[in-house]
Amino acid sequence: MRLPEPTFYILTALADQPLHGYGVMLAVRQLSDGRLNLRPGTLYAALDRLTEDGLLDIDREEAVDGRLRRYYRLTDAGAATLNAEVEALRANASLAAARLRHRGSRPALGGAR
Amino acid sequence: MTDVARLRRAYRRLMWVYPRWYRRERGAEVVTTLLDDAAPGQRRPRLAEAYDLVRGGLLARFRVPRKVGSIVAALVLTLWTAIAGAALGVALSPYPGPPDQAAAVRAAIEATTLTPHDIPGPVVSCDAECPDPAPGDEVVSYDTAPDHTASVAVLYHPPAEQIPDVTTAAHQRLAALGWQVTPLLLQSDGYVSFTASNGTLVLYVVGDTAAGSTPMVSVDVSKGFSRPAVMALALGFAIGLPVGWLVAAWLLQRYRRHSMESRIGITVCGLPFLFLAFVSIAQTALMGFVMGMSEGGYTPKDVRIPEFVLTFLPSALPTAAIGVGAAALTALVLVARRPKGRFAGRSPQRPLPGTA
Repeated sequence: MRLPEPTFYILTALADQPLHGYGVMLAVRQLSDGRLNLRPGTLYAALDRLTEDGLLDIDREEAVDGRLRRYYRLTDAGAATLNAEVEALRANASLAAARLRHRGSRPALGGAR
Repeated sequence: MTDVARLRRAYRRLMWVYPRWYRRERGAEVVTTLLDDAAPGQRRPRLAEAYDLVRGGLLARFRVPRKVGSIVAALVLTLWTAIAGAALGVALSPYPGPPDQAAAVRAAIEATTLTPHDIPGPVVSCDAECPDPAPGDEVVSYDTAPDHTASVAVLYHPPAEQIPDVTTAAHQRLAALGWQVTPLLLQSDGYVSFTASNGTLVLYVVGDTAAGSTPMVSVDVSKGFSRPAVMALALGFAIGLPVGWLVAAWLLQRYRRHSMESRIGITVCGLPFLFLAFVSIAQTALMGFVMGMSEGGYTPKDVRIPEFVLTFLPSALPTAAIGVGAAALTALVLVARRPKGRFAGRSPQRPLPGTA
């Protein structure tokens, strides 16, 4: 089953390094070219779910100037899930590209003979 | 107070939408992220932020752990609470209990033109099966039985040879007076019966000349279709659904944060109740289906099915019911104890400052 878009971007944001909540928000905004703007209520609901499913884990926490930041990292299961999604997207993209290459080179189905 | 301090306080206030356990575990972190994302000079939460937090908080209150056992337990608790809500709704509506005895006797006199001897008669509280009236009693009210037989019985003892005529005449008279009557049912063993309804009362009239029984005409009067009772049933059920899920979510989130030993204890104590609740749900669904499919469909008394289901077993097996209840109470006490601080059921965390 395909990953929902916010989940895909959260896992992608954490693919190469652990990030805290605000870091994930910024990364998702950047990765989606500003199209996806996760607010904290939505972001933490997703982080809870992904942590409960074993796709994310807490890496560390820092408290600076009374502000507490928890860093999240991708688990092996999370990396495998993201990898499977990447493969599925790649396969779909290849399929679409192959069909587009042949565009116009075959007669249209049901066309005049 | 600085702008940041004011904003922090406003965010913390909004965090009250979240359950307490969530605020303890996540509150400081979420507020930090909100402050990080705030615009320079921002003094109060933006509308979109407030909406997002309220939505997230409500979802957190309704969220159950994503495990099959938790989801099944939540469904069972939710449906059981809805059935209990339906039973409570009907109990609080004007329906329960037998009809007013004087009104029932007036209806019986209207049907038969005969006046019973002992008015007012005794009130008999009975359970799954009600006893026959004592000799000499011609009017008896049967009250609040779990098998929903709340009715007033009015009995006549004319000479045996007149009984078929009295019953047939009652049928014609009620029909002429505008009551909705079912056809006369003549049985080979000496029974003549019919049902009549005027919306307020339902009369079940039987002329009994069967060999071996006391010849009599009995008029069993119960309350008619009650729209308020049906509405109370639906309302109680509808309110019970979210309330049940909310309570189940709270219990299961608390259960998740307990140690393994505590969870085993809670499971052992809580399982008998969950099993009984599941049986009650299945029984309600079955009775609801069977009554609906039966000839004539639902009767007014069927609004008491939820109460019957919830009270039948405790009245039939009180010792077992007390045992299951005591075990369930123990499970509740065990769950209600403060769990050890755990985060998302995974890494142990130290308490977070300023979030409770």
